[in-house]
Amino acid sequence: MQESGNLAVQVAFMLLNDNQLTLSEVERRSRIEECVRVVYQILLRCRHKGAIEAASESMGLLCRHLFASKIESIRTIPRNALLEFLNRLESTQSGASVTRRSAGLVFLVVKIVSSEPGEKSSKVSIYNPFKLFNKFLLDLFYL
Amino acid sequence: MYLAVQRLISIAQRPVTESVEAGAESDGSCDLPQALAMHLLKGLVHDASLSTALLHPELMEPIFRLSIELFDHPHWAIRNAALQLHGSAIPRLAGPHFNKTTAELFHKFPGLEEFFLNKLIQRNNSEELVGSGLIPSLSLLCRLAPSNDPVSRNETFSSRLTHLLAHPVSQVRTMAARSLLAFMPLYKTKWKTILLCDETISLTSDASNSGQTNRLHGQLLVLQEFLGRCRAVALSVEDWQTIREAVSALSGIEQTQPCYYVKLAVLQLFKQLGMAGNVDFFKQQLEGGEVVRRQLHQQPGFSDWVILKNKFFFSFINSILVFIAPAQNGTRLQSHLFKSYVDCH
Repeated sequence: MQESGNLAVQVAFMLLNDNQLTLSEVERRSRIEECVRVVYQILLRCRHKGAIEAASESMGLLCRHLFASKIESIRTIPRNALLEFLNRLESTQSGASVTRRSAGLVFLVVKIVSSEPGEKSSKVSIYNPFKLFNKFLLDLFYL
Repeated sequence: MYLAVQRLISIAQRPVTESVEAGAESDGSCDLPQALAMHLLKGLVHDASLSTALLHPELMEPIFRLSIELFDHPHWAIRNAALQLHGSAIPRLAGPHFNKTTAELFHKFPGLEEFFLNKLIQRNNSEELVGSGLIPSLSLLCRLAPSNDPVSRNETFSSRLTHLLAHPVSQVRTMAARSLLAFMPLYKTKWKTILLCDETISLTSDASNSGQTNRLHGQLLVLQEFLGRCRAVALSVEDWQTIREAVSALSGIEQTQPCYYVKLAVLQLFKQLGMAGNVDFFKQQLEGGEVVRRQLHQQPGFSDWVILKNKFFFSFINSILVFIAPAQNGTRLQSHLFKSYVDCH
């Protein structure tokens, strides 16, 4: 299971980076989504701690590369995976099991969110210029 | 991330329907989505790489409020998830070494000020001994560092926390005493310590305050906290002498108060200042013996109090033996006294 996740990520990297592949953009995107789904399913269903941790690292690595892609449709793949998971959580009445089968869910959300570019300094991106100036004045006042 | 946090919060706040709850409890194989959403939020709060991005009032304030408000949810899994989320949120809000001041916290998260003030109001509700969210709120406030400004906020919080010093629950009194430190500037430490000593004495001398044991205990707990802080403040020898004289006036409380928790609190003050305290009780133990111990050991707080009392007595004896007995004889006498102590217990 662990190696399956790693292999899926390697295949996704090849699909991302190999420009000699004779695939249309839609097909490329579809294959990458399948690779992401392999790791997604491991995080959702697997009970093995080692497999979950390996899959979480793979998901983080893969999402960083996907977010860095120049193609818009590929950049939205991690977001769509997260939205799919959140929709599933909202729509079903009962969630995942209380056993370790659900241990990967936290990794799934954390890795996708933390891989998004600009998250580490997102406090700048969230503020508008007026709020920034206001914050600057308040900081001066309290110094 | 903003989208994910907002949706997780909305899932966590959804009411639990009866059919879902019955299904979850019957076979125990499913977690409620509300509990799962909070575990996911805990994972986001706990992640070091998101620590900066998450410290935004629009994200962190709702998360923290959610963790406190679900502490009294009827479903155990949700209470457990709220506890874990609260435990992850506190280091983010109070800083990794609990060195964030109250001014820094409320400047960054202004919405939390009114939230805490509402939680600190003691409600006269006969069904609840402890108000909803009171202890979780105090667990953050007691980890903050003091700041000088603004004075109005310090006074408002100090007033609410002082009312909690008379709370019937000991843990609330203890946490309120620690939280008061966060709203008292450092330069007022000596003044406040002496004021507390005077207030404690007037509390015991006033005959109309006969039912104020909880209040007295809370007052002594605050005094302990402030004495601990005095060590962090550069006080002069004269200041320390003034404080020792003020605290020594409390020895009458230790002798006259029937409650052993109050007696213990007074002895702990003496211990902080290296004072000996009164040793008459040990003589009473040796004379009264088993009868005295049987009468008293059922009293709540007696065992902790008598252990500390006996430590004081042996320190007192030890200090005398150092001066009057040669090393060898002194050691033999100490062994004899220790053996007597062990036989008594």
